Amino acid sequence: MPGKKTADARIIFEEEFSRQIRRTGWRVFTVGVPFLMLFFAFILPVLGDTFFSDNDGSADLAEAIGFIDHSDVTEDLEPIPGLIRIEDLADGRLALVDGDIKSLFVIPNDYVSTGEVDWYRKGSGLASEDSTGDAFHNVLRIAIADDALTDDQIARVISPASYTLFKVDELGQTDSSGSLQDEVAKAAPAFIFAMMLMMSIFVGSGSLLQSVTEEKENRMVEMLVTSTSPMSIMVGKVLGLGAAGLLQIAIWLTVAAISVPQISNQFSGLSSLSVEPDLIVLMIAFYFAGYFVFAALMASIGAASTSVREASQISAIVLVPAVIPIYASALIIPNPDGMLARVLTFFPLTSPTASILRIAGDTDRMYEVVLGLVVTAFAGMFLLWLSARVFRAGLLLYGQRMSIRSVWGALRQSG
Amino acid sequence: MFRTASVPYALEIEGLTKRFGNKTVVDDISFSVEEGEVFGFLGPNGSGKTTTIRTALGILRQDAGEVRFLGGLNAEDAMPRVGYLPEERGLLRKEKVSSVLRYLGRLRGLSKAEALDRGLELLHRVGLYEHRDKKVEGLSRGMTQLVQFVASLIHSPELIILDEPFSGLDPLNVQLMKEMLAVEQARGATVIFSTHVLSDVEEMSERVALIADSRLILFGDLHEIRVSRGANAAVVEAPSHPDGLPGAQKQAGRGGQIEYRLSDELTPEMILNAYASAGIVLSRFEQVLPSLNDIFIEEVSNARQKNG
Repeated sequence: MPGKKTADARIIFEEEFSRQIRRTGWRVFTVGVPFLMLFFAFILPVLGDTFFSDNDGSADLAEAIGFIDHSDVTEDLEPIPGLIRIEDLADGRLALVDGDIKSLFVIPNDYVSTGEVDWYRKGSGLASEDSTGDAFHNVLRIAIADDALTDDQIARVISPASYTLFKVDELGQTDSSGSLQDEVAKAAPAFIFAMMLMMSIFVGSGSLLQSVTEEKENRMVEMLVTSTSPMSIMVGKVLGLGAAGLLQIAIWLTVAAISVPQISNQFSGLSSLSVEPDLIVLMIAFYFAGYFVFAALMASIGAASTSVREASQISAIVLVPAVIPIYASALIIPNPDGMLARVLTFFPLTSPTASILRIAGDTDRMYEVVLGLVVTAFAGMFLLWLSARVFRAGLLLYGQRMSIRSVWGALRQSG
Repeated sequence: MFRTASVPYALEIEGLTKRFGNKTVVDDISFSVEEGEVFGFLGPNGSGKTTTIRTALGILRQDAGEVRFLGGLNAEDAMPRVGYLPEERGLLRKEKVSSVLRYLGRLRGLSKAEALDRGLELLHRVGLYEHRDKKVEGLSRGMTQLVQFVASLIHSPELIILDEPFSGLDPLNVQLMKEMLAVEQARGATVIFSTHVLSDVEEMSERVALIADSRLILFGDLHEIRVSRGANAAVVEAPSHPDGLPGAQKQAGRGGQIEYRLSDELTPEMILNAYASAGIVLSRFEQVLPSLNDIFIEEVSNARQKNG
């Protein structure tokens, strides 16, 4: 009775969708992510300004630095805002303790020949991660070059070049150009999308895991399977929770679309963020394909498990691969057509995030991304079919401890 | 086993077999249930009643045999017309009672409004209407069982299959459930219920099937089964009773009544002769058919002895 199966799947879809959007967890997450986005939107420009401030050719310091010069190399140095000359080490230490300066540098009299400088710091944190060291490098560069070079030349010593990129394709044609900032502006939305995609897939498939496991634990499942087919149950559940996930993404994108232009008026770093329409289309396509893969796997785990706890533990094995591309983003984005990126594109568990990150890296092989989408979509459909069988077989495992052997035996019996 | 009766069958099970690995848990079971009757499916704990029901309903796949519902339908096609109360109770714990009933009613072919109306009507009848907006997790176990019972009746099914419906319920709710089932039967529905409580079967059913150790050992009309077994006891009412008769097992007390357990060593003729020889005039002599309890114990014991 295909008509009844479709009608049943629709009923289950409606029930699961409305149940999901009434859940407190879903609502908190749906509202919480935009808040996080806004938080990052505020932090990002600030970090950007700090990052690019070293490249403007000046040596202005964000925080006060003290220095004692025994070598006279800074004798003719023009005053620099934030740079405080101190005569005595004891005074310097006191200023450090009082918080008047962030760091104290002592230049010994043999500095020019040895390059050695003593750096006094207060508080915790790694000195190698402290930008004060870089800032004082610039001070020393200016001091050394002061007599021999013009101001412009000194600026170039400090900041040798601001690159404009020209991308040349395989035929030798220049197909795009822009600055490093443009590249970051282009990559950032894709990276954020990849994160959103992953989170939404996790929430949706996690809910499915919970739903299936609870129904089994509650013994509700026997009532369901005598009311409709396992396939209708799985399709209804997967689509219902998937639609709730899509609604979540739509809300996030709407908030982003409204808030980003407004924030960009205040923060220069955001003004150049660009979101290509095809990225949104691809993201939605990958959302569905990826969601089907994870949801079907989660449903299978839920159906084969005997308790929510057991199911949660096993599900972690499936979820870890999805995070790999995010962790490997530092490798994928700079090298979107490298072996790692390409392999991850064709593995259904990593394909959604890896593909979006390849787009962020401006891949030359979009066809591979599309192919990865097709592979993931087919894997999703196959796994959905399989999950209905496991769901059916899972009924046989009431009260049994789960093992590969028992699941396989149940699968064969359910066939 | 199958009869050519004028009354059509609501359920026909023929040679049903189910194995889990090497273990046969339902072994070549055949019986049929007539439309409109209340049928008792009996068996001791662990005899295979639940597995038989699950396999018949298609929850588990059978290894052999055939099951036909409501005049020849397979399980999948018949399900919208079947109400089922599983042995293992449970509903969506976080959902409201009325929402769960609406959901299950819709899956059984009712519209949203119909499912809700019918659900509330049945909640009224089981005295849980006030709890309609409570979450299932807020109900007691007995209440949850009643809600699940309601869910199995929500679509006015033609065949109602209840697996141990009365277990865990207090006597008042058991009575309520029996009354509701009587109403369903009067409406024309067929009721099959499994149990190991024999008094329930004697009270509600005319026909029974008894299984033990995965096999059907008895099936048919309860009265005919008892008659076919012959009397297994005799009740004698007299002013006094002769000494030395074996098998005097029960002293009823009133009116000098005594019950003799009949056997090859003590036949009705021997009892009558003993009273006549002693010159005692009987005011009542009645041969008693075996109770279902007697039959159950005898048959299950025999089956177990046979199976080692």
